[in-house]
Amino acid sequence: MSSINELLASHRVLSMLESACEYNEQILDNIPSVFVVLNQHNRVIRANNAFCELVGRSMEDALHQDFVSLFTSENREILLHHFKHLRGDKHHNANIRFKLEIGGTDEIQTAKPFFWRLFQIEHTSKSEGQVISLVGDDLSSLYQSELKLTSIFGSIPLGLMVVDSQGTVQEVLSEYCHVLLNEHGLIGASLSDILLKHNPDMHTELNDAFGVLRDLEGHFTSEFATGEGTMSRLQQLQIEDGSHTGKWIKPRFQPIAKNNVIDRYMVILEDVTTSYLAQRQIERANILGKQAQALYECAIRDPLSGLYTRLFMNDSISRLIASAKRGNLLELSIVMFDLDNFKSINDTYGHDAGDQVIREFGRIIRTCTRDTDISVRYGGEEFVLALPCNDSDEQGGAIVAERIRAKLADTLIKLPNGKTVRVTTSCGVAYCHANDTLEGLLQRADQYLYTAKHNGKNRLQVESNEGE
Amino acid sequence: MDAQDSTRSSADGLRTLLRDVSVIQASQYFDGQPIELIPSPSEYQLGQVLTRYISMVLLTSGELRVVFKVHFNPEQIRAYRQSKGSQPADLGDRQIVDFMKELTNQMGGRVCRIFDAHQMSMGMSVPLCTRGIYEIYADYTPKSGAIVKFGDFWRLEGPFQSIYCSCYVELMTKDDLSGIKAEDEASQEGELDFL
Repeated sequence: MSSINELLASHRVLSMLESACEYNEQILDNIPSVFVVLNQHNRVIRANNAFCELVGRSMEDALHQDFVSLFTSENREILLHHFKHLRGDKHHNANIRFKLEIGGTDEIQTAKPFFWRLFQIEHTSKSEGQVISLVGDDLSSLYQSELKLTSIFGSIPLGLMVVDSQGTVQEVLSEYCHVLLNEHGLIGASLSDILLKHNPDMHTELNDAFGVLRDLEGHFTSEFATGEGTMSRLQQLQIEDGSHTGKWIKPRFQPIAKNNVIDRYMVILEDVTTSYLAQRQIERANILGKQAQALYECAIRDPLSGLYTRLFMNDSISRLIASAKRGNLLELSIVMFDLDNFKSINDTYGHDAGDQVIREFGRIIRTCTRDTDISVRYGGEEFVLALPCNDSDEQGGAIVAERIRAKLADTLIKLPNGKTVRVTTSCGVAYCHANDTLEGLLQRADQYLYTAKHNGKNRLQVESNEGE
Repeated sequence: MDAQDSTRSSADGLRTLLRDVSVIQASQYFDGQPIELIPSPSEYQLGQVLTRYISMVLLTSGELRVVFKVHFNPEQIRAYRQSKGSQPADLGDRQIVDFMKELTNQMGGRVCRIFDAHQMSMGMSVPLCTRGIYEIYADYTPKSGAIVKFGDFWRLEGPFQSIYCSCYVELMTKDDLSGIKAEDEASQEGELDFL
C-alpha cells in the first residue's frame, strides 16, 4: 500500500507542476507585449496572443512563421545585425534593446514602431540552434501622444525650453523658441549669451538673473522664490529680427526638481511685442495728451494774470447761464472790472509795470474767488467774473466784487523798477435773469461799470433787483 | 548474434513497435479511421518544436525507459472533434489537451500491455501536457554503452490532419527485444490499473 501511496503522491505532484507550468504559459500568452521565441533560422517556435494579433494569425499559423519576413528589407538588415550580435555573445548575458518598426510588408501592411528587447535562451536540444526570445512593446500610442504633444507645443505661442544651471539650452520643447529668439540651433547654446547679444544695455539684469539660476542649483525648490525678484527685472527683452520694431519677449523661469532640489530650469518665453507696442502707444498718447492739454491751457489761460481768456469764457459762462435758467442756481452774477487809470501807469512806468499790475490783480482775483467761479481777463485791463451761487449762505457777486476792489485798493504793488504804486478798480455787477444771454449780461455789467467810473472810480455799481 | 547486434536489433524492433502502437491506437481513438505513418519526416529534425503542445508519458521497466510524446496543434484536433459533433464546451484548449492526454495514455498503456504479454512488467506515469516550446529542453542525444539511448519521431496523418509522435528510449538490457510486436497485447486488454 505504501508504494501505491507514494505513486499517487508523485502523480499528484506532477499534476500540480503541470498546472503551474500551464499558468505560467497563460501569463505569457496574455501579456500585452509581443513575446516570441525564435530558432536559429528566425522561425517562430513560441508566440503569444499579442504577436498573433499583430500578424493576424492563429497560434498554429504563427508557429514556424518567418519572423524576419515581417520587416521591410531595410529594417530586416538592422534586425539581423542585432540577432547576429546576440548570438555571437558567448556569455549569454547580452541584453539588446532597440526601436524598430515592424510591418510595412505584404504580411503586415501598416508599419508600427516597436521597442524590442532580445535575450538568449539556454537550452538542451541542438535541433533548433541558438534560440532567442524577443519582447516587443508597441510604441504607436506613445508616438501618437508625442506627436500630439509636439503639435500642441508647436501651436502654442510660447517658447518652451529646458536650460541647465549655466543657462545652456538642453531641450527645445517648442519650435516657437527658434522664432522668438531668431536662432536656428539652440541646443547647447547659451541662453544668456543670446539675450545679451540683443540687449547689451540689460547686461546687469541678465547677469544677475543667470547668476541666480547658477546659485540656486542644488537648493530646495522652495528657495527658488528668493530669486524671483531678480528674475522679474527681465520683463521685456528685445530680439532684433530685421523688422522695424523688432520682437519683444518676456522670459520666465521655473525650477525642475530632482529629488526635491533644483536641477534644471524650464524657460517660458512669451512674445510681448504686441503689449510692448501698445504700451509705447499709450505712453505716446499720454505725452500727446499732455501736450494738447498744455496747448489748450495756453489758449484758455492768460499767462500774465493766470485767469481764463475770452476763448474759455464764452462756453463756460454760457453753460452757467443755461444752468441758472433751469433753476439749478440760486443766483448768477456777472462782475466786470476795469483798472482805473491803467493807461497812465503804462505811460509813466512802462509796459513792464503795467504787466506787473495785471499780474497782481489777477492774483488778488484768484485768492478772492472759488474754484467754481469763472475769472476771465476780458481785455487789456478789463476783467469779467461769473459767480454762481447755490445757496443763501454763499456770498453774492456784489460782496465778492467789493472784497476784490477793497483788497486791490489796499495793496501796494511793487513795480520792476522798485517803486510801488497803489491801483484802484471800478466794477459793474449784473445779475442773470430769465431771458438773459451772455451778450446781454456783459452789456449790462459794462453799463454798471461805466456808471461806477462816471461816479468817481474805485467803486462798485450793482444792478438793482429790478435790473436797473 | 553478439551483444551489439542484439542491441541494434532491439532498437530497431522498439522503433517499429512504438510507431505501430501509435498507428493502431490512434486509429482506434479516432473512430477506426485509417492513419498513415510518415517516418522521420524530412521537414523537421528530432528535437525541434513541432507543434504548440506536447503530451507525454514515461514508461519504465527493468529493461528500458521510454519517454513517449504526442505533439499536436489544438486547432486541428478541435476541427476534427467539431466535425464529430462535439459541443463548444468540449472544444476549449483545456478539453482538447485532456483529449490528447487520453490518447497518449492509451498509446502508453498499449505498450505496457504488450510488454506484460512478454512477462516484462512495465509501469507508466500519468500523462502530462505542456507547450511545444519545451521540446528545446529535451535531450535526444543517442548513446551507446551499458545503456543504449536513441530517439525517434514520426508523423501520423489522419482525420485530424497531422500529429507527431516522438520517443526517447533508454535500453538497459542486452537481450534482443525485437520479437515484441504491436499485435502481442490483445489478450490483456482492459486489465491495466491506472493510477
